Amino acid sequence: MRDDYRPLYNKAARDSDHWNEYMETMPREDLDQLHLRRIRRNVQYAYDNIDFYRDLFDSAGITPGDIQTLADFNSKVPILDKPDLVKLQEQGDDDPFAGRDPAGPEHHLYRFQTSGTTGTPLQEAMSFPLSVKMGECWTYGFWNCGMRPDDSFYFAFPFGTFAGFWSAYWGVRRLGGTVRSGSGLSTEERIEDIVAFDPDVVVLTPTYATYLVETAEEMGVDLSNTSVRFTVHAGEKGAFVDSIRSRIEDGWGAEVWDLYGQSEAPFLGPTMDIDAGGIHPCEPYFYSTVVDPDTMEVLEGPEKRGEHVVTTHLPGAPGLTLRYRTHDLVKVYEDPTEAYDTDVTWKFFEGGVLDRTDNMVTIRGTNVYPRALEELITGVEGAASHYEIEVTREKGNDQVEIRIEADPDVDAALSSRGIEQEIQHAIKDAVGVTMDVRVLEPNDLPRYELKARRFFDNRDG
Amino acid sequence: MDEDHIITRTREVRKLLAELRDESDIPSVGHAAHQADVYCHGILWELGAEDATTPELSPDPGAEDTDGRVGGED
Repeated sequence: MRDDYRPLYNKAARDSDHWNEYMETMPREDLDQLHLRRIRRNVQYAYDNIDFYRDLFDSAGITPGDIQTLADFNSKVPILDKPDLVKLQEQGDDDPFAGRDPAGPEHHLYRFQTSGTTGTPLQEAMSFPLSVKMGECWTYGFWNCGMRPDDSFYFAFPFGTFAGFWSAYWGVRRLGGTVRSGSGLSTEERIEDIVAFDPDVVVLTPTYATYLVETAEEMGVDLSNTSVRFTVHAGEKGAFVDSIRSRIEDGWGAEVWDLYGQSEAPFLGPTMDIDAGGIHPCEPYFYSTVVDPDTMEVLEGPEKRGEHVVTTHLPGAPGLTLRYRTHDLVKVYEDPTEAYDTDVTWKFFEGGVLDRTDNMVTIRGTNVYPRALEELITGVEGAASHYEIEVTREKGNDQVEIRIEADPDVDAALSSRGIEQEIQHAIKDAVGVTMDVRVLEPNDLPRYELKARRFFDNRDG
Repeated sequence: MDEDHIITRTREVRKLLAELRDESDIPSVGHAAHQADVYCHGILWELGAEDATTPELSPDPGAEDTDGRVGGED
């Protein structure tokens, strides 16, 4: 390399611990002032340009002028749910974006859609500026956790119609890192490519990370001896389940990084400290509140657990979403220093997404969130990290069956029945109910390159 | 360079880019100016000093700036 080649960053910037210290350490009062300014601007835009929002405001008896404070916004603007976004999409006849996208189709650079596994797929369009901003949410976390532009990133997933990891690519592009895509390769070919390419970072789901480790072992490859320093995840809770996180850390010899996102409201919350045990909603782009899932009232106080309601500051589709209920249960610290040692002022979600309110099951009068079981069942000796939880309803009662693979390295002395009993005891001790548990042979359950399907709710059928 | 100086200079750059974007007859130049403006808008956004949610909605860059920076001097 020539020594007069201009570097990507000047020395002071390169030495910074923060991607954008000004925004990351902004005092709460100023952050809230910024949120209010961006919300009021978007409320006015939505009222003037999107019939759905004008009807919503009219039905609530409010106008944009009634939103003078964040308290006004939180108390006067109705909360939206996914069916509302489907209705908003259908309102546009031939235009699925129905005025949500201020720039119009000329500015569409990418088109995506949600999976549709829980109903009508939502159409998404990303303009160039929106792709830059969504990428920047990842870059905030990449930089703060020690990833730099001279790092190389290996993308171990297929690029498809799902926006998720595309935005990771935009984040690496924003950082200036080197991208290697294993999109078209098989699992075995990706492992060989990782060994040959020497990446610093691998981007993939937690489930696929553990599957790659298992497959590599069968190929005689020890991924913990590769150059990989970080595994970067999204789409599943696994990175915050201690037993699964440990398997990824050990299998890859790397640190585990996670990002919280949701397709219906494309907001993203990066890990800003690899050891913090949680994520921060990226406050330059999103305004987060926590509500009581039963009353939908905003919860106050420095630390609370409830359902995350998000407002996006971003335009585009499905952006510009006001007060959308995510159904994600989170434990939030308004001041992250109450949770861990940091100078970042953004709110903190300890443990990432704890569960989903719409997944709650009631077993003999006890409310149970299935994701709370993940740690219990995958932490039992002899159990692998591949499992399924199925809920059915019989005679008015919810029934749960847990199917989990035996660890292929399990001690032969540990019988399937013994593992089942261990899991049943762990669940009984933790939540007070007995559940059906079935231990399967290794590789009996399907493997996923993208988001794994773990929870099957068959209570209606 | 402090934040106020960054904001002032970025707004100046946006005016120059708008001139290139709107008055150049060369598609390559016009679109490059547009994409550069997207990043300039991003600079203002990241400092809480943007004048519109998205650069395509920004007022005429020649117009008087109306939004100050949150937490800034103005």
